[in-house]
Amino acid sequence: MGLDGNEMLRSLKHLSEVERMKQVVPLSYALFPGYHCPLMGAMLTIKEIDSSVMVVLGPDECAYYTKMATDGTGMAADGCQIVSIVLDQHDVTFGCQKKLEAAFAELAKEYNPKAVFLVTTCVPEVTGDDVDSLADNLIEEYEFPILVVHAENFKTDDHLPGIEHTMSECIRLMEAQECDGSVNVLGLRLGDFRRTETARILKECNVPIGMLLPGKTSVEEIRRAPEAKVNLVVHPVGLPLAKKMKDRFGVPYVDFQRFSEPKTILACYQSLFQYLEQPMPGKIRTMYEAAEERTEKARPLLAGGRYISGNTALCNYEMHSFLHRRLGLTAQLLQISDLDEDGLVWRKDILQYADPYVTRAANIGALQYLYPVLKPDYNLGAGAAREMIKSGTVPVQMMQAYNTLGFEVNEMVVNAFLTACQRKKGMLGMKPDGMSGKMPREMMARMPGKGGQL
Amino acid sequence: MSLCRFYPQPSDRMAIMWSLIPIKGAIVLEYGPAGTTHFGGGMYGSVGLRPNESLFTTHISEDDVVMGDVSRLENAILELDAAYAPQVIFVVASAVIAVIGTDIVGVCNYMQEKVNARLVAFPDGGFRGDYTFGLRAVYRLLAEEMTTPVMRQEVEPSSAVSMDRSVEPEFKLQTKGNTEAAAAISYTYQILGASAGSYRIRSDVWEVRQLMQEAFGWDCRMIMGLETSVEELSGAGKASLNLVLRNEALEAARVFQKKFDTPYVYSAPYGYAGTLRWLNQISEMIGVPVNPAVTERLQEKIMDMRPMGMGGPMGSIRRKNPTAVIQGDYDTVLGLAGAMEEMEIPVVHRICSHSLKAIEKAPMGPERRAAVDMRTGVVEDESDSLHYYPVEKERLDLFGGLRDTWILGSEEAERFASKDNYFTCVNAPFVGHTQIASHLPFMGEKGMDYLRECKSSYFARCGI
Repeated sequence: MGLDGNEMLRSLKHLSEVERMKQVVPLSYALFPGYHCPLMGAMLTIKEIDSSVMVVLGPDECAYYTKMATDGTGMAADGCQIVSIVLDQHDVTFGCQKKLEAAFAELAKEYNPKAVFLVTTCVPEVTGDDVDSLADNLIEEYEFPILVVHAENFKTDDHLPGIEHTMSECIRLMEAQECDGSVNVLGLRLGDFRRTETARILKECNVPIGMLLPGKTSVEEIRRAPEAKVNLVVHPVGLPLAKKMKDRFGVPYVDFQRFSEPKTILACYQSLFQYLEQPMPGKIRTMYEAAEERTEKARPLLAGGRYISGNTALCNYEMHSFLHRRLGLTAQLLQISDLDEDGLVWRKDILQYADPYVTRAANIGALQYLYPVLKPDYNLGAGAAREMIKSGTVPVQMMQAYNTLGFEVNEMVVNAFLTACQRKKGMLGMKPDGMSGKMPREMMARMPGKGGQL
Repeated sequence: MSLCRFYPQPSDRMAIMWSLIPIKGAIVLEYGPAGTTHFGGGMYGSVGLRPNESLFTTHISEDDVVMGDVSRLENAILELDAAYAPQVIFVVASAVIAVIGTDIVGVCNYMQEKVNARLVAFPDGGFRGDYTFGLRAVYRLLAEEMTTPVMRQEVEPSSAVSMDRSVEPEFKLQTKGNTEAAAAISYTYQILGASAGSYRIRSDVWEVRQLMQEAFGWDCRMIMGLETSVEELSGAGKASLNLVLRNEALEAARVFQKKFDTPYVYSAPYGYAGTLRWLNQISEMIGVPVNPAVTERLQEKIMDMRPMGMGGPMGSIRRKNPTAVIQGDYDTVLGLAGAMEEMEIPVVHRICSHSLKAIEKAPMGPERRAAVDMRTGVVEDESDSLHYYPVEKERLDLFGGLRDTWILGSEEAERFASKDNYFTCVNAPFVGHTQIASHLPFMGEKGMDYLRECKSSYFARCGI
């Protein structure tokens, strides 16, 4: 009972065969759990903005889930009020203008917000309510800015557009400032930038951290964001805002995603310090050399391993390119959410070594039927734990990925695979040096759980 | 008043979802954006549902919305039918599908001949009303559509007992010591109206089952919409009795009565006296006396609450007058209000969490709730004592103005009332009140034991 993994595989295309997401075949027509929606992406971004109000404009279900997600402990709203305007059958038929106006009157009186994010959902986007115009009318009436975030789910395959649109809208809050030499961080979807290696290095160099978006920030901090010396873009969702800030305020940006390749990370640091007009600290080159050494030493232990991968917190195509080129691993299946131009160079690089199957992400229910067919050594990202165990697949766990940036990303990736490799060998009843080369004694000592860190 | 500051009421669609997902042998297929399914996962988890190859989504694209392309739905139905061989596929429209008017009933009709699974469509998308509308609709549909005719000889004998009033019933407890009787007779009943969205419903069901077993030796054969399977639903006519715990399941109970001649009792056991009344109602219906040991124990506990009971007259001396406010689902409020009366705590506000439009007012005859005032013997029309505040602000202001009050309600009440009050979570939303235990009821004897403990804490906290 269940899906036929072999048949599923026959329907999939390879990476070399796809140029647009429409060509990428899902594992199944019926998905579980399916993609997140942009409403969630918008929520993740806005809930951290102090003195703001997020208004969900949609049916009760969207409003309920948004409230519920921000009401718990893990993703609790911090400094932002999450409210909603619930659309019923009457609003669907006759439009939501009156309800919107009445709700804003209440909201203005009760919360006195510095900014309001009005987030649409599928229903108002389909009914055709001109929410932008309605918001423009309201702006004239109230003193606070109203930013409209369009978050319909039927145009997207994940929640990232919700983050991107929210960030892009924030340009309307910004005002030209004197430069204070700080660094803004754009696109850190989850996690705490202040815990990263890059943050520590900036602190050592007395470079102040400016606005974190997404991240703990405020309407006032967003207004002053153009005083930064440079924007650090740690995920592509931050690129549109970075480009707008460059055009409007002349703030340059560095594409500093969670890269795995040491040379790329080094180039990011070089670019960052160039914009900061400061000499790059000598320790960065030392870290680079350590990363290179780590990577070289890991290769003989990992080469030949096969993996399947879902989305991760890292720059996915860059990571896969690194895993193939530097560590000798081979992807059998990539679950993807985009085929953007940004990742083209890395996709071409992957194709030099392998041509994995590609499918759409967020379908773990169906994915479980591919483990017995592909029998991968490793699984990256979300997966079906029970089926992995049965098929001898080891999960590669990068638990703190959201709190990493810089060379520590390389360290995390290499360590995570080495740990998985050890588990795989244990599963096969082999000694640690039995699969594809002998693990050096010093590396063993630095393995997680063996008294050290790589 | 258009702003919703806290949680909106769950929609009819949400109630349909949380009632269908637990049905074993069936698959729920959401036709709409995947985000709804993924986002809903948190809510389903909070009410104890763990969809395992029982919930799927088609996702939709702009093409589907603009061009009315339903091929995703067709393909998903074919795929699920072939891969999992479910007996039923429930196709539930999302809000956006309902708005664009996709005819999912029509799709299910023409797809029916291509699949083995039975296709059942829910096209409303959450616009029919609040969750009470959804519960009523889904319970009725399950009763009408998912059951099959039962041969009379298949009906378990207790039903015959309840019908034949000329025979003097004799209590025979089915215990290990009475295995002969247990083997010969299998009395079963079903619970209707146990909604996964109700706080601690699994504990309440556990208590109801314990009471039914101890009082009558009867077994539960199905808990509709909470713990059930397609087979159990199909054979629902075999049960001898239906216990209706909430108003929204009344229509379903009537369907069962009409189709299978199954009697039902509509009431939920709250408080010691309330539980005894409930057991006696059932006893009267099925013609089997309540186990005297249960009656005796409940009567002892009732006596224990009297001023001359534990603590003596001094125990009734109060520095302040206790008061309670109850906010919750219709039957929860009425039930808990009865328990408060037993503890002599006046209930100053009975707040219904949902619109009363889907609630049948003061049903009479066999459906009449036990609403007898213990002291005067007057039967009240209970539904009139409840108030629904459609304007959220009025409700929040009411909570904000409470002092030294025992508030039994949802997290909304807890959030907006001052800390001068004593709070017990009894209703959704309950995000901060995770349900792990399934043996901590509000209903029945054990529920009342717990409420008495809460009362004691309330008195201590608020200096009553």
